[in-house]
Amino acid sequence: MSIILDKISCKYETDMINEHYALKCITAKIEDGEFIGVIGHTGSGKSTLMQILNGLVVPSGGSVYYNGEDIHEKNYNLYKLRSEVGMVFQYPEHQLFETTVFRDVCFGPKNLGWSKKEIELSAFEALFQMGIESELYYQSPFDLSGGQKRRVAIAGVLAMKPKVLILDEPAVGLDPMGKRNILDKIAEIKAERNCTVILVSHSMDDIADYVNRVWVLDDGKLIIDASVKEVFSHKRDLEEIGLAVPQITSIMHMLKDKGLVVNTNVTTIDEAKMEILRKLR
Amino acid sequence: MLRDITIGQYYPADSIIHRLDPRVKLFFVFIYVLSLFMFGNLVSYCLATILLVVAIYYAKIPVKFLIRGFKPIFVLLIFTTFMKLFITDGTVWFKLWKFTITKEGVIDVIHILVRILYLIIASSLLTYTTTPTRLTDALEQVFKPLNKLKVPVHELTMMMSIALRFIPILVEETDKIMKAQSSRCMNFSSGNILKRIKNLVPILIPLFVAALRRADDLALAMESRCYQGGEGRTKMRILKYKRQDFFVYILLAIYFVFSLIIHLLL
Repeated sequence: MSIILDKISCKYETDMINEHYALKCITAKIEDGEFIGVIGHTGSGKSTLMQILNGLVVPSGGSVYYNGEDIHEKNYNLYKLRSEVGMVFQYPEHQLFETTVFRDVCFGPKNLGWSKKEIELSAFEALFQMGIESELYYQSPFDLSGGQKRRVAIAGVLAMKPKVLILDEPAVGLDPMGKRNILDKIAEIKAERNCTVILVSHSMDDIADYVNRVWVLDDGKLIIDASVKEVFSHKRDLEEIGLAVPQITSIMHMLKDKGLVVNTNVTTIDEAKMEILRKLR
Repeated sequence: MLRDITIGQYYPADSIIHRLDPRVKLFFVFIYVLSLFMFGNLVSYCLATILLVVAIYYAKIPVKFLIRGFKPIFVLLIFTTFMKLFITDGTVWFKLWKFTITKEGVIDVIHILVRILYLIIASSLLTYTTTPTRLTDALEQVFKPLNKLKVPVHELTMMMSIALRFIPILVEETDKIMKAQSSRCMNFSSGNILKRIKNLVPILIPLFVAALRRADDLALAMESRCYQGGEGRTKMRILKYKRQDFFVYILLAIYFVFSLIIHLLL
């Protein structure tokens, strides 16, 4: 059970005539149960790559293998792929349409042809896991706040019980509280359901606390594929392409420059505290 | 598929046609279309073809791009052609089971095809070579006299330019929503007609919501910049005729008079 990307490249026609490569020869493997963070700044090809994993965009070169099967094979069942690889788009709240929150969450599972009981159970479970209060279940999704809408939309994908969950900038445009809240929820779900999660973001700080492997995309190329600690030790490389390391890693680098010989290999505040205390003792 | 919709889009290039005064282009298309429907003879069609080819050549618009604009209306064209071909009465040329093809039918079809195709090419040439702002400026100038009759010319042209501006935005939005819903395993192309119409709901509702949201945002943005309609509003670019504009006017006049003479003679 794995996803293999084999030399994926993707051509885009920008202004109808000129061609531009959104992705250039990307090769990687995603194992079951991994928690991968994808970072890169705007236009680096993150969203395109995610849509390829879901079978929504057909790459112009290379192939994607899901559990050993080429997803662009003629008679490959894309519906089955999409039921197993759930994708949450940027601003997913823009896809809400039903009369009530609950019915909207049921939309995905309904398309899978499950029985009514299964659908409702799975919808309840998803809404509960996303922390939606039960009095909101039968309200119109358009009456909710931005953060609530976002969580309902994510629940709509979760209700399909995906084995792989792809989230494209799930926290973008939310206040710090809402951001934390959503990312924490995703981490909880990951632990509970033991699914593979791919989290796309342009902010290092968001990702560092949660994921255990990071892909750095720049101009359509996968330039770094490593564990969190390793990635942030490439401080220079990251800054060169306009991405910052987490604030706390930056602080550790500064301390080191000032003469306190600490290990700069930390990514969370807790780790930094331990490291500094260890040094000062 | 949705990206093929090029109606009302602007194609950026540096050509003589792009630099022409938008009013000239507007009049040109108007007279041209008028001539297409007024004079239906071989010579005038030839003249119209020459004019169109020259215009396309000087506009530096790739033919590939022009053809792409036809794709959405292709089905419509085929449909009208066949309807006309089999329905028209007259001298029978050809008979196949219940369908008859008549001489009049074939002639009518040729007329319709030439007119519709040229109409679309000419009007899309106008939007390909003119930015929506310039087009609106031209329309406002041309219809300014109607202001005296209490017609809100500025407001109407502003509406038009916003509508033009929003075509690509809404197309993109539709594309995004369709992708989002298909990743929730939505099936667009199954079931009978009723089922298919119902299938549109998950796309149309988010699309309307998005359109309303954008309209609201735009209205706020315009108000916060003190927009208050046409009264006393000044222009940053004032339209002014140049030599090449007069040249095109003369060319247009010659074309029209010539076609008219041929039409009266034949």
